[in-house]
Amino acid sequence: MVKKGAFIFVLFISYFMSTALFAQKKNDFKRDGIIKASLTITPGIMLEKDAINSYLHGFLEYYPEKSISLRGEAYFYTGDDRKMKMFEWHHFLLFGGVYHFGEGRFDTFIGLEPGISITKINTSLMSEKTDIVEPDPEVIPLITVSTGVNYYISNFFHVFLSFHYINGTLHNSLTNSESIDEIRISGGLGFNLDLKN
Amino acid sequence: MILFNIVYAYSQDSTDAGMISLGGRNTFSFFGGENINTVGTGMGGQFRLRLSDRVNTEWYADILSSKGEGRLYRRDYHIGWSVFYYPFNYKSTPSKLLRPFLEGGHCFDHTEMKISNENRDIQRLSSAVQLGFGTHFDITERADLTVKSQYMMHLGTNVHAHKEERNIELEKHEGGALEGHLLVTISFNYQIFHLW
Repeated sequence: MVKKGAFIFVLFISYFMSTALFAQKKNDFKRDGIIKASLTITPGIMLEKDAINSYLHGFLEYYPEKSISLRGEAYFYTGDDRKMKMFEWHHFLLFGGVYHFGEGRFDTFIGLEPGISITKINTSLMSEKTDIVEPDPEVIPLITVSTGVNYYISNFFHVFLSFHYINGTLHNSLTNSESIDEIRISGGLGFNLDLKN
Repeated sequence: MILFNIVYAYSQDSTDAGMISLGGRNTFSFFGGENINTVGTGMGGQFRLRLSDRVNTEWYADILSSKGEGRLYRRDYHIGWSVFYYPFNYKSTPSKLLRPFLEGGHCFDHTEMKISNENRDIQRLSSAVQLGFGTHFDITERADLTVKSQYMMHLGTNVHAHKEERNIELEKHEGGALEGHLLVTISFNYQIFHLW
């Protein structure tokens, strides 16, 4: 599962990085000074467990210059594809910097976004005969690397596709410490506004 | 955001002294002590205030989490400061990609060692000093990626865990003790404005 997820992630990084090498249509669309936001549903493929989590995902991003943006993201856990949810809470907050390649309406990016998750195991999964106490919610420090592509349709709308690799470890689990590593695939329509003009 | 751009436009100068930067970081911890047998990972944030072209200061806070044997794990909360000295290439410019520095500093640390899913833990407050080196990678004139390595030496009450038969016992010994770990930090930073 880990190798499969890593292979998919490397494949998409390679694809999107390679698009930055080809000549992009240069026009008068300027990214610096843009603020953008979106809200979407994002699946997360867990790399150490056989589960796909689902999140309500929102982000807010600002470009102080055309190649750099500052991005904040929030993920609200809504469930997974198992019969019984693995988590009661599994919400994420990320913030970091993103580097954008190319010019004009089409940009590819790569980012580093440290963050935290607030996670609590679904206590319904605990056996009645267990000798362990109910796990407390835990704040987990995270490492996140992201990549993707944006296309600015107009001065007010854009479409995006992004991939995030998230690394973290849950200690307050039902057994020993567990990895919560995930690959998230996010896409959709976003809104943007040029604050300089 | 508009105010951000106005402040920066009027504050640009030929020297970097007085520059304020903000950023986020991820940290990896190695050799975290007995019974901590994996690489710890963490996150945090920092701001920098540049005092002169060759001297910068960084003020930071971060959380580190490390796994031990069985259900043992450790959390470290750091809040501290560091001084950077640039022996050469001190100007922020993307034409010179690397800006190496030497670093020294101090922090306060709160350490917890816990056995998950049992109501057992020990905690301590300590003081620490750190020494290391690193480099900035100037992505643009205002943005940089910083990679640094530092050794952090804690002075305080000794807390550790040991295995007795099948159980892990937590112990705290009063009195001073030295304990250290190697930290590698990757951070993204952005220059916001000149304070003077």
